[in-house]
Amino acid sequence: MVVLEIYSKCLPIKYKTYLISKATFFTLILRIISVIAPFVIVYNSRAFWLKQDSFYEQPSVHFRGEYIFGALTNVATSPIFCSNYPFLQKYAEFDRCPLVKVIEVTKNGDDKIDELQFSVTVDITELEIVSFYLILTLDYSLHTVCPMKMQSAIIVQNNGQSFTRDITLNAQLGLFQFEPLGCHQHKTNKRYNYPIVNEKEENTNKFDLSRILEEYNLRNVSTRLINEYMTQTPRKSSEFVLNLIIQYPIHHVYYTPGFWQEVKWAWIQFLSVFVIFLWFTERIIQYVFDNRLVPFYEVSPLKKTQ
Amino acid sequence: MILFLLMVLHYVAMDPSTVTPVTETSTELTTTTPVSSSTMASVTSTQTPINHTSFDGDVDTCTCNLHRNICDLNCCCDKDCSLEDKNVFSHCVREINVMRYTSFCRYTDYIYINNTPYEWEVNQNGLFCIVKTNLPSKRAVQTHQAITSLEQSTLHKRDKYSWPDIEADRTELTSFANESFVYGSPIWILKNQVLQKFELADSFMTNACVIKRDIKYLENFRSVCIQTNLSEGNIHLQIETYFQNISVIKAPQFFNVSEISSCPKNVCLPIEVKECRENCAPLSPQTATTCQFYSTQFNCSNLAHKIIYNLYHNGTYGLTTVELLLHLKDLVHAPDHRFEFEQEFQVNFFWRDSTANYSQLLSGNPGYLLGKPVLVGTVNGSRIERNSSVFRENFLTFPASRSGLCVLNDDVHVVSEFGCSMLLRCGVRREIDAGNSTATELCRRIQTAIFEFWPLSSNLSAINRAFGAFGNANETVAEWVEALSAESPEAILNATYGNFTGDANDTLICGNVTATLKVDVFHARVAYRSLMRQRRIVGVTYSFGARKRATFTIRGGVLEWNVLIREELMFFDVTSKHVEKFADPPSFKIRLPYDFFYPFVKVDNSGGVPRLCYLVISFSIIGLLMPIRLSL
Repeated sequence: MVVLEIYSKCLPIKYKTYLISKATFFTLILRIISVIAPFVIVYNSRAFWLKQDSFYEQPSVHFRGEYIFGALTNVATSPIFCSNYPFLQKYAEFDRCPLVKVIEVTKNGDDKIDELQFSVTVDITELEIVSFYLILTLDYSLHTVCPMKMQSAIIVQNNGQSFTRDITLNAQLGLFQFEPLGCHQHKTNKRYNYPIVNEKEENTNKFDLSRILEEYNLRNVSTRLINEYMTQTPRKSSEFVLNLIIQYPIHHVYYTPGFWQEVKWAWIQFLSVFVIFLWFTERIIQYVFDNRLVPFYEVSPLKKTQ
Repeated sequence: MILFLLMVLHYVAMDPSTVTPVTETSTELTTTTPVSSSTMASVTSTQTPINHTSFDGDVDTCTCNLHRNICDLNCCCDKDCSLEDKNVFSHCVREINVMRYTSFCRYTDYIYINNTPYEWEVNQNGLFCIVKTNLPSKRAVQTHQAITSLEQSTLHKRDKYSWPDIEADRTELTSFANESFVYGSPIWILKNQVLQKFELADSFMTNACVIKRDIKYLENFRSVCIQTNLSEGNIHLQIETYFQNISVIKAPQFFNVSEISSCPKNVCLPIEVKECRENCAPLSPQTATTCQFYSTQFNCSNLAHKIIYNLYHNGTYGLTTVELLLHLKDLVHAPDHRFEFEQEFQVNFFWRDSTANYSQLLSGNPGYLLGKPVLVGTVNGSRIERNSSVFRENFLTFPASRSGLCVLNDDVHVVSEFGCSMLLRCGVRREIDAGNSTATELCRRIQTAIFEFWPLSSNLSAINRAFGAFGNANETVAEWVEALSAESPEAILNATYGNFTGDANDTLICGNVTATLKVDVFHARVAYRSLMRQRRIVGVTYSFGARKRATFTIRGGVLEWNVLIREELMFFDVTSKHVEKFADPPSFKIRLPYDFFYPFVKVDNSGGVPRLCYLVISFSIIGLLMPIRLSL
């Protein structure tokens, strides 16, 4: 008949000694080391605390319908300024834009806008455009890891050639961050959800582009055009046409992880090193007590107590 | 199998590496003075014979030796260099492609130390290095066979990068072939008895007419470019260039090259020329392009501004009629200005029996395509009316701005594009004879003139405009969406009033004038039969801008007024979430036969009406039996 080992259990052997003794001190030191040393090693090998993390997401971007087109011409008294901001209509005498077109295109049927086509036609009879800028305001929002909603902009600046009449700009919308995004999974970050062009008193009296750009540039999170490719067509015409084709790609977003994400990541690192230290310290303690290198007395269930 | 027989732990406390000059290098080695011990503390100056345990490689290779019988500078292994020559060296060119087995404790290399260019045996004294090996010497073997045939060279070129053959893809027909027309075949013309391809000017990189493009059968063509040369030699400005002594070959299969001079008119089609200014009419024999110089400027007349070829065809049987519409333009040009004259070239193909019918043009089938014009019509009872010969009566259009002024006619207008929101702005300038009209009448005439630029029907009592729900809407009302508006144009008109002011009543003040029209188009992507995401217009609203007060001046009984009008077209995507809904599961009605409880119920001819007592008894029995069955 075959004999099988179907069950086994350990008999605990107790090693006892006084509080103030070599064995107590030795065991305590080793236990402390087994806990502290993994911390030191993990911390010094860097990235113990997860200070930032990142994710990829295609944002929901919508054109807010507000635009500003400004151009300097060869005639100082005839600048061109077109806008549909109500408070900027006081400069309507400089409005020479008879036609503005906007198409927002969804290419893959996921209900997210993938491309913005914008076109502005400027009547420049007898004038030559020296330089121009264009501001389009956007609603930008993220929904997955780090919900965020902000008002951002597409800003185009160009020192145009006087003979150019058609400019087509192909570009992509990029996300620019100074620092990781403050993030809460169930709370939408609306820190920058305010207008790019503020209807402040100082702006209404004299439209100040440099102030808008300065404020926008100081934002921690902003959108700007990347991978810009511009084609220009010289033409003698009374109209100047600026075409924009802007793609909205997937954005790489940096954010500050929450408390539990940091603790989870740190705990995994600590635990992986602690297990090794624990094994070593257990071996050392076992060696010391097996060889009776420190005084103690042993309580074994196999030996009858006197 | 042990690879390394012996690997000895070397440990050099002072210097990890030492070099030893090799005795059997060039002859000058024997004549050199040993390196001073002060500078060569780590170099063993003992000129011991080379140990066979070290790796010395191929001593005959000297890759930096690039001149025969001449000493190459800094090339320490060059046998042409004498010791004196080598004194001028600053370093030894280190050949990186030489196999140096640095894992050996001793190996050969060229090192230049203290103006002594020698071949040194390096004793690296590494922590681990190979002192001796019993492995047979190894050589890298690569077979390179000479290419002796073109096939082999082609084989070697496969999967390699090379210059593309720029002439490989010339599939265009360069010579006349008697083949039937298919889509994209070149069209041939006879010009001054010379057979040539039909080509028209186009721009390239710049906007100037610098190239010519082949006209292909059934491929519509359009190009806009400028002519920069105003001289008699520039034939492109002259209208005769486009039709004189030109006939178009009906189809290649009907044309015999040997009969060029006697080509019949049913094969070599003549061009029917029409000149167009306001309207198009057959070309008058007196019409010709002329340019004359008067004192300070050129006065040109009848320049070819738009050249439109309408080619009527009958499929593979080729062309049937060729029509040329020449839009002419007069020009005054001062020589001190740069000359630029814009020309537009068009080639349009039509089926032989087709006529211009805008109502037959679809903007999608069924769903709208992005960028296609929005279908409009006028509501008339249960039908939608569209004047098929007027573009603006079939599609949503807005006035275009020309030099700041609104222009709206069949040629000049801004066509709506589905999905494309627009902001339009232009000025309306008119002169009205004030006559005996009252101020209010004048103001209403101004408002009416503004309305004429907007997509409204002639009946101002309602908007009366309908928009095609799909891009293929027919005349049935059900396929159209009527525009909604909070107020009718007539109500706006009735609210408009005017007053004369000023000393001589020469100022007209109009109140409640609106100059802004907002058209909102609500569309959604819906499923249509087996098609998904078909764009459909679900609603259109009209709204008019704020009522404003405007002041005009009357001079000499004539009211000159100038109003800036605006149109705003906005598309709203109101697609609801797509939910797949399945049919309800089939319901089964399980009934017992009407006489199942026959003893307990009264069954009559109509199917039976249970008597209450029998029913109670029957259910009681069933209720009693059920536990018994379950307990079993």
